[in-house]
Amino acid sequence: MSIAPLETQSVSSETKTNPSWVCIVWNDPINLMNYVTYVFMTYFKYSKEKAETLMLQVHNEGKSAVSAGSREEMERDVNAMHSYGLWATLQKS
Amino acid sequence: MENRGFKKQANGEIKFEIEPLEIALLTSMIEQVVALLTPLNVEENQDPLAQMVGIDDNAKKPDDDVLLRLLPDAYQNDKKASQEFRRFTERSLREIKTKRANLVLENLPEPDQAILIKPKDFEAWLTVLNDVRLALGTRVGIDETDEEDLTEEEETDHAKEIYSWLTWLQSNLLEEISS
Repeated sequence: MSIAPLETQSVSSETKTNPSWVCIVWNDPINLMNYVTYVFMTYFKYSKEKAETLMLQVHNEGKSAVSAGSREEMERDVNAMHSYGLWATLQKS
Repeated sequence: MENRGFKKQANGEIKFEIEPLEIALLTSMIEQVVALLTPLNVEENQDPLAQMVGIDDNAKKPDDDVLLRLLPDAYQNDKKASQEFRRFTERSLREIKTKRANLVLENLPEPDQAILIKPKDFEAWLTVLNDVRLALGTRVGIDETDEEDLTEEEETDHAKEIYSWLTWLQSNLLEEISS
């Protein structure tokens, strides 16, 4: 049996208990409100209600922290947001 | 604008009646985005192993506003971290966007036929229309006041007219997908 999976497991459980980074989505004039909601529901699997709340926060306040986790997890989320064309960055929470 | 042309089929596919001229326009717009996303001199001076795992040592922050909007920085105030992020992710991001664009191009019908979009391709269609809108919207300088329908006066600008049509297309497709 390889010990690699065990190592992977311990790393992932450690990062889960340390959500010190956030993925921020910024408002922009091109992305449609219902498209932003669609992306939050599709990628994060958020409920329609939660996705709409976050979308409205982006729209009205200029930005919203849409997910939290380890730096690696937030880099993955930011990369995904960029693939959908949303304007996203990560930062320490 | 009227909701013309879109219809969900019994098998879940979305049928969209489109004019031959609109197919030509869409093709041209998507091809321009693909050209923009295809980096020059990709394979030069590259470590083969780095290439294999998707690392791109040539990746740098784009000078062009449109390309920067398609491939944004991942850190707001940290150039070094943004650059490192690009090194590891930009190549695959360009590839994902190009792959989706090519899928949509292949999905475009002959001039006298309707577009049929399978459920598995909904996401590609929405993201590609979005990338085209991002590219065109950034180029013509769309701002918050242009967000919804453009007034007739503003529509005299041909590029904004195309942008407005693409917005209509994406919005109605999304409405049909969500229905």
